[in-house]
Amino acid sequence: MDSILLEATATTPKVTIDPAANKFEISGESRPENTAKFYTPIIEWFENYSSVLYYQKSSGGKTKKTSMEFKLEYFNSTSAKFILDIFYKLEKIQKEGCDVEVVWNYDARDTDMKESGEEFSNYVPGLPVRYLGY
Amino acid sequence: MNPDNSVILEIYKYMNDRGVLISYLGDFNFNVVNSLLASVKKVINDSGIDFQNKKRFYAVAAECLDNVNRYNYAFKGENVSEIYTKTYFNISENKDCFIIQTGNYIHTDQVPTLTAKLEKVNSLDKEGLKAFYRDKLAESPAKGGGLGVIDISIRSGCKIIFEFKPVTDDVLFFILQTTIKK
Repeated sequence: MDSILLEATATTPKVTIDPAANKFEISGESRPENTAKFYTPIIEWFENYSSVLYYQKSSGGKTKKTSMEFKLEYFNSTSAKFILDIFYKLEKIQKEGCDVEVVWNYDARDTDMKESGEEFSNYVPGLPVRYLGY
Repeated sequence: MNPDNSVILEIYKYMNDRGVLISYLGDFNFNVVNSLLASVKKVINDSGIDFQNKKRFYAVAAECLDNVNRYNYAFKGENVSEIYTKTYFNISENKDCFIIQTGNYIHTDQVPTLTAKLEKVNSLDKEGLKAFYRDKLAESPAKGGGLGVIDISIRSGCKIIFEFKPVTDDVLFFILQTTIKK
């Protein structure tokens, strides 16, 4: 599968979706001018990835653990809906029997950011989320 | 007619005496929002408030700017005279708090939805707001909107003050004020 590699800007986060390296990370500030345009390819990517992993698994292959790292300094309320959609896509991968986790990194001084991760995880109770204060 | 120079001094004194830190009057677009937020960041960094409060201040300012930018855009889309397209954004401080105020023209038909949304948010306590946020977040992205003022209210921890000043039969000036305690 193709990767999605985007450098951070003042309004959009750095995105590393690199299946070859098995690295998945969104970090920085998220308040894009057009939030749907920014996040839709990422959400669609995970939708396709869940099909790829499902196919690999059902044909007897071994799938790697998907560890999705979030390290957000700020995200606006419009981004929140799309971040939740990524959680839903990861939950789908997990429900299909693949190993998935979310790593929610937050500045240890920013407990609101930790709470935001907990809020997202409430919608996907079966999805493992690790909280890492830095 | 332009303000004469003596009035400029009056405006300066008026704003300075009222703790104005940032004041902007003009057209709004995404670039203006970004540039104002860069100034807000500087104010926040110089503010001496704790880290968590700085993050909340930034988030509230970003959502307020996003709100007026969106309302402004909607307004322009309806072919309303350009004299109503300018938006006002102001941050001031007193010894206890920072105050963020926005002012923009809206249509009278926007009032019921806005009033209902803001009154609902103001009627809720912190837990109620969080529950309301969860309900709204669960709605599909296509519906959009609605989260911004809840987010503002949760992060600021204060009630939102709002007012509609009638201008013509069709147009009102909408003022929204939020507070960040120091």
